Amino acid sequence: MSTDPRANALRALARFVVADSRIGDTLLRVSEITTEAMPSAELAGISLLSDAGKPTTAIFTDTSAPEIDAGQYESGRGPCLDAWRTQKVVRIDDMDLASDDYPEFVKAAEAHGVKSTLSLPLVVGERGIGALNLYARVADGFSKDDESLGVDLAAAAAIVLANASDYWQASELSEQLTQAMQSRAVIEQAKGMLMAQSPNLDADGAFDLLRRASQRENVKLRDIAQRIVERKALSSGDA
Amino acid sequence: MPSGPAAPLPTNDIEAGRQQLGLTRHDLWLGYFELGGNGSLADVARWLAGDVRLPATDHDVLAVALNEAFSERGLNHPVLYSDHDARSDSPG
Repeated sequence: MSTDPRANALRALARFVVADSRIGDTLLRVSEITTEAMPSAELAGISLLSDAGKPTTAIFTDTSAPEIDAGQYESGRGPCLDAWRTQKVVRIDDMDLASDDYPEFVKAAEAHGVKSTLSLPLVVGERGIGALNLYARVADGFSKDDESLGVDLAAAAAIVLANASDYWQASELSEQLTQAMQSRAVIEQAKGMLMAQSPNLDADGAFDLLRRASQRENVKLRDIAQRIVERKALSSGDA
Repeated sequence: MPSGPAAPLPTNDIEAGRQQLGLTRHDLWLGYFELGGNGSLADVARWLAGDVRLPATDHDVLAVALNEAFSERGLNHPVLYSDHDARSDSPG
């Protein structure tokens, strides 16, 4: 086993199979892998756009992270937002030196005992999609090696995030299709039963019958079809 | 292309209904597929664009998909079926 934190972190990320988890679990695991690889990073959070289109700390390893970040989202200025916007790493080694640029953030960070931060942009293609934010309770908590490892982990996280989004979109589509195929099967079965009862009726004619019954009774066509199929099952059961 | 038929193609009703409901072509195709339609998404796109004549059978399946979506919004079956001029429509 290698003791190199970079190799271990990247291996842990590679082992993590996105298909087994919901997207939130995937991103939380990415955050945990990052804090495990960097002992000084006591808290981690991922800033993403919420459904309402506002930046939010959607994922965090500790509830302090969203509390610290709330100040910067309200004021619109903070290291995570700058990393996201500029697609560059933003580091704060000493909170005193950052209070001019980010007064709200520094106040919130100090209230939680955070003394240095590292904000890493999540970039997919040429688009910034969020930031991975690490917080330390010591000044100068992040070395150049930490920053370099953080950049690699954020790049991997962005790929996981992009793939996870694609995966869940595909999964939703597949669920819709599965549902549609179930309804379709019931309708086909009902059409077959109507055609069996009336030898002169073709498939289009059977669909027309279902469609007229649906319109007449103001009931969805698949529900009419379901009734026909169930009635048949019932009469077979009675026989 | 042969010269256009005397009666207007019903395709426009379907496309107008789709736009009124704000459905994507994929949404409409999914509803059509669910009801037993056999055309592909590309077929539906060609029918909606008016590039290819929409067969009456497929028109009616698409019309049911739209009308069911209209019904969910409290509107009663505004898209006419292909035989509407051959039979009397029940109003309302």
